[in-house]
Amino acid sequence: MNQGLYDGVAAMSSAERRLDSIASNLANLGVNGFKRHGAATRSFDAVLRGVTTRQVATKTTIDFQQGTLRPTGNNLDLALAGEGFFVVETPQGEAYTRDGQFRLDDQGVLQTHQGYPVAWDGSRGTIDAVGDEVRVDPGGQVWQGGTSIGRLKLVNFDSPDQLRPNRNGLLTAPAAIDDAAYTAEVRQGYLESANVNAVDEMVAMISAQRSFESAARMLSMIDQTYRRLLSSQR
Amino acid sequence: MIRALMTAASGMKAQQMQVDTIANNIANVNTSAFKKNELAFREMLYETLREPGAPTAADAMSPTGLQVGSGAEIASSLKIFKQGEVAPTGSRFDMAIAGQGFFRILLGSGEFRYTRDGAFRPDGNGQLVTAEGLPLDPPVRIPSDAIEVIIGQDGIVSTLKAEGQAPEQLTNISLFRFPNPTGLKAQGGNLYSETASSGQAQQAAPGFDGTGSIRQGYQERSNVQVVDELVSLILAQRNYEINSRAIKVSDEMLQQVNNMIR
Repeated sequence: MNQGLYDGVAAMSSAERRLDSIASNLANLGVNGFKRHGAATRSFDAVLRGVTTRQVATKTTIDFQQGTLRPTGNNLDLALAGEGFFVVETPQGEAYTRDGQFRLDDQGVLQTHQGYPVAWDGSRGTIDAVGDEVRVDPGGQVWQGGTSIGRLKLVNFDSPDQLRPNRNGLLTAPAAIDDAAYTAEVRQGYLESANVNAVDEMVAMISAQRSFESAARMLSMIDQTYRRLLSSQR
Repeated sequence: MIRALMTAASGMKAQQMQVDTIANNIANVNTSAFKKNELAFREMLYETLREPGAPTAADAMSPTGLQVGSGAEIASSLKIFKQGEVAPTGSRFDMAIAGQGFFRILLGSGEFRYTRDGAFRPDGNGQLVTAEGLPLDPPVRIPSDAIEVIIGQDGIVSTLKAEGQAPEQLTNISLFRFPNPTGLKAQGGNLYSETASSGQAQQAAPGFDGTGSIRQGYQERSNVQVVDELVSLILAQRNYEINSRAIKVSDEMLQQVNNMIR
């Protein structure tokens, strides 16, 4: 009966984790290039001191499905259609993002809204901030007034699951990750919306709430059983 | 669950700020040369409960970890300096800029401000001033005996003293351009001030260096598109609503815990 109590608590805490990640997805509905985090709960058999017990564990994965592209008409808004990431130069090294809401600083350096420069393929291209309009073709080549300035660096990874968000909402990669070919095309004047579907999240939220509820119910039933057992001795 | 409560609250706060911004855009739909604001959201800190790639056994590691985000926040607001529609007004002192430039305005304190609102009027001395009475810089003084004022696309101001005479060239209007106009600080009253992020103003004659040409008798309208704003408003409202649902669900789950032991 003791084991039942622990199982109930494990079920409740995993429902709680699921709700936390759903709430985070919902809060980020308005974040460009946001990728939802899916929480999966699985059960496994753990053998402890010769006794097999059923345990549950929760893990989160980033769902890299394409978000909807939304036209903004701004020249420096870039969206990626397909698999791949923009590369950002942070003081801690390269970071990756799908949020292409870029801007120019006073030196003509293309940067993210966090203020980090965007990485280029090869040497960093300098945009003449007071010059002609900037054009970016689907291959990431940047043009200004008919001359090519350079190409934005795009990357993709063999297992993007291993990317993890850092404190600025950018993704960082572990050292051991393998590169893969990117299929992404750059769309100028568009932004990628978060790939969070409100309906799916609502359904997941209800299911988390109900599984929490039934686990709580199970706990109070075990509690009642104990109570009956104790009162029968009196 | 306390985390889910806070996360959803951060989402609501971000959406509230979005509604504030949209309301300001809509309120300024008739302000001449108004430039719309946009917000950039970003994710807040992630809490790593289990590292991705952490070893689970001697020769195995977990392919994914357990990371839970703590919501969204506003990263920055952006002014969108897209050209507004240019409409005729009939007033010969109204000027619109078709391009990226700004007029420079001199404050009483000697500081400069920049504006795209070209609704200038001559004051008592014939000097061109804004609606607030702040003079255009470099100054333009219209002589009192002028019967006609012509402002060319290149900023050359000429006056006509009498019918049938050749126009007399008076002065030049200069325009100013910034490397990064989104970095300008909005000061209200259609004025902007230079910041370290906008870079130094670069003076140029109208029509040169991308400053754009001056159109006499026209005014630039606000670049706010009401339909776009309404769509964003609906989205913000719904996002706000669904975040409040997440709060309600967390609250109900907490209540469940409180009722567990009776």
